[in-house]
Amino acid sequence: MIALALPVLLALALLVPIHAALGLHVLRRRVVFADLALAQLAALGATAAVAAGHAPGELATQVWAFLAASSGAVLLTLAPRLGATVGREAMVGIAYVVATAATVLVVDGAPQGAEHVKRVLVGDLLSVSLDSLPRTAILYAAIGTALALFHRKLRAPDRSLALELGFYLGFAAVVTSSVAMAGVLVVFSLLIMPAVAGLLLARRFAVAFAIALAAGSIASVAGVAAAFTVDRPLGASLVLALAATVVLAIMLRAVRGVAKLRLVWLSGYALAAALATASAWWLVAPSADQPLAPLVARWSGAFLSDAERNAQDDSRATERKWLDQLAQLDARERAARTDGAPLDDEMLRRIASFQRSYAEMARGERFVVETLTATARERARWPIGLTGLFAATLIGVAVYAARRRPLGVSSSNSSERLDSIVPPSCSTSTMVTARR
Amino acid sequence: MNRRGFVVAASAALFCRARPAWSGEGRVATVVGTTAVVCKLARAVLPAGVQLVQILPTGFDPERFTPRPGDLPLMASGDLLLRAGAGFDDWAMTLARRVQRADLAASSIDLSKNVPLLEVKGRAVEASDGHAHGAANPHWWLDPVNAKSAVASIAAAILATDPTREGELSSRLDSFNAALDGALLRWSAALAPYANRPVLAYHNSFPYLARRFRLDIAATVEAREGVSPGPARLAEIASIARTRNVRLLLVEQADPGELTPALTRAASLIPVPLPSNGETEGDSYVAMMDALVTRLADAFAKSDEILRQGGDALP
Ligand SMILES: [Zn+2]
Repeated sequence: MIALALPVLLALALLVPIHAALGLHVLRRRVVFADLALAQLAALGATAAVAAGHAPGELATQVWAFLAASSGAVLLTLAPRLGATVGREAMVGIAYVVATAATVLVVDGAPQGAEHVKRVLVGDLLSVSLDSLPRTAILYAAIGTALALFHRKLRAPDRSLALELGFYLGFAAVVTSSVAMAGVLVVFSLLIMPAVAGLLLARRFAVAFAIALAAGSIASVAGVAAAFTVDRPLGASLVLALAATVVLAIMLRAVRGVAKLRLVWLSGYALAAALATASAWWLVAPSADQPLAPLVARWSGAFLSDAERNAQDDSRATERKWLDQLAQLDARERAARTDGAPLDDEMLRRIASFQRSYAEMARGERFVVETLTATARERARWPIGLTGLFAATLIGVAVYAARRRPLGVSSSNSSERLDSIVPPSCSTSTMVTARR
Repeated sequence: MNRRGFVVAASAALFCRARPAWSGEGRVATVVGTTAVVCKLARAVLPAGVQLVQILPTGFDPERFTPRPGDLPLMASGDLLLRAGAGFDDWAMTLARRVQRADLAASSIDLSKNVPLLEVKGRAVEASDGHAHGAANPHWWLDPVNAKSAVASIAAAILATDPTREGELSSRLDSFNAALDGALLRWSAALAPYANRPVLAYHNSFPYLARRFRLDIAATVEAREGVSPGPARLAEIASIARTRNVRLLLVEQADPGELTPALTRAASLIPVPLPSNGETEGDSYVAMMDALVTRLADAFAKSDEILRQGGDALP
């Protein structure tokens, strides 16, 4: 486990800073999808190299890939000079689809077949090897140093053509190498999401960079930990962890200007609205997929008679039993390959027909379980739907009332009201006495 | 001409145009094979003068197929459609219907129909997608004995349309069976020293091979077909490799598996790409299995060599 996780974490330690820095520049230039276009161009170059007979990992292949990506860098540099009516995003989009389409055509003509070539181009962080990291580190360090040296000029409103070209070439080099290492999805996320989190919370470049760095690092560790503990594909886990930092940044920014109490009210109303919608849906179509179902499973189950509930439990158990038996037959055949005499064809045919009928019977049991669940929901239609609506109304009214009479100041409020009740009577009495 | 008459005439015209290769008396002039392996099997018995067209180019992963415009006339030109079956190439049926040849789909020969299938899961939603292995394990041709029954099915299908060719068909069938029996002895001898030796497989494509040659597949990397495993599964596989002292990871040449590099490093495994979908020079099934068995036996020999030299030759 550690042996698998260590190269991933080291690779992320290289990827996060350079992509956070580049991401801030990319967001400023409003070319958010530029990395996708450059990555796709790099893929096109690499594919063409492989089709021409180079091995996927070879230096020549990487040169082809970088040259193709450089053409995109030139296009990105020149795009804003082509006139304001044609935006850079349009050029980015064109470069992306053209590169994708051309890759499909090249792959289709390649003698080695499509999938093999495509798999080589889009890396997976789990496959990163330790000995490939030093070379990457040198490349990123060089480009990172250049970014630091020119960082003021790169953010100036009027930038020279040479500087822009240099920036995009460096960007292309980083993307070419990182996509081969981590895949398009992860690279795009590392580039954009930490930078967005930074810019949401800070205006100064240095502060935004620090926040982006922190967000990227925390999300990386969290994503890797999640993928390894619950055993999920690593790339997807990382993307979601990075997205969580953006959501957190949005929340922090939202909270900054708003009174805390107002937030509580708003979430109270949101909860009431969600509950009301879900309950109404249950009333309308009880046997459809119900978002409330997992919360009230026990309650809706109570609408079945004891006999029905037993039948449902029975069916669940029986379904499991059939599937177990099906798997056991597979295991028996597998064991027979090496232990004793292998099963003959006649035996295999018998096993297959047993397996078919077990699968059929398991499906029958599943059908019973699902039908009874639908029946329970149907019966629970009015009790659960109306209770849900009532609870939603209660929450809404409670929030409304609390808003009118904030809890923290209730005592002073009530005394105020007492005051407002008492004086008129006093005043009338005084008036009366005055008349007298 | 009334409207209905026109429709009938038009569809008749379409129907006729769609089968130009039809040469009268129900004879088969053109046979369409879905994959390289199917075509290799068909070549073993196809009588002289019958044309064979292959839809999926050799070297492409059959389980991720997208048709191209050129495939439409190929399919339309056929008189007989051969497919591997067991959910592996159901796309051929869709393609046949797409070129107004529902007759071709209906009369197609499922080569797996007489094969004793392994890992049968019954009818499943995913059965139409080959890699899901929804119906059963579809990689049956890696057992040479199954190839015999598939070739017999092809011969029977051609015989049914043209009884005059019985002599030619049965002599070709006999010579294929004889060649295969000889080859089977050779392959069994080559792999006999490695029986019961544990190996790993990336995709679950080798149970038929393992059953015939008594290989022990200790684990399959993909827990669900076509889905890359997560890190914990990788770690589990690596630990199986260590505890059972597994050295070889069998992969399909057409689709070697995304995480094979990670596994080879984590557990010092040697990936063995096998031409399991017919990615070999030459037209014959026997040549393909020759290449596959040789590559496997060589890999076993190499791993033995490494063990003899004192364990970890791989870093
Ligand atoms: Zn498969």
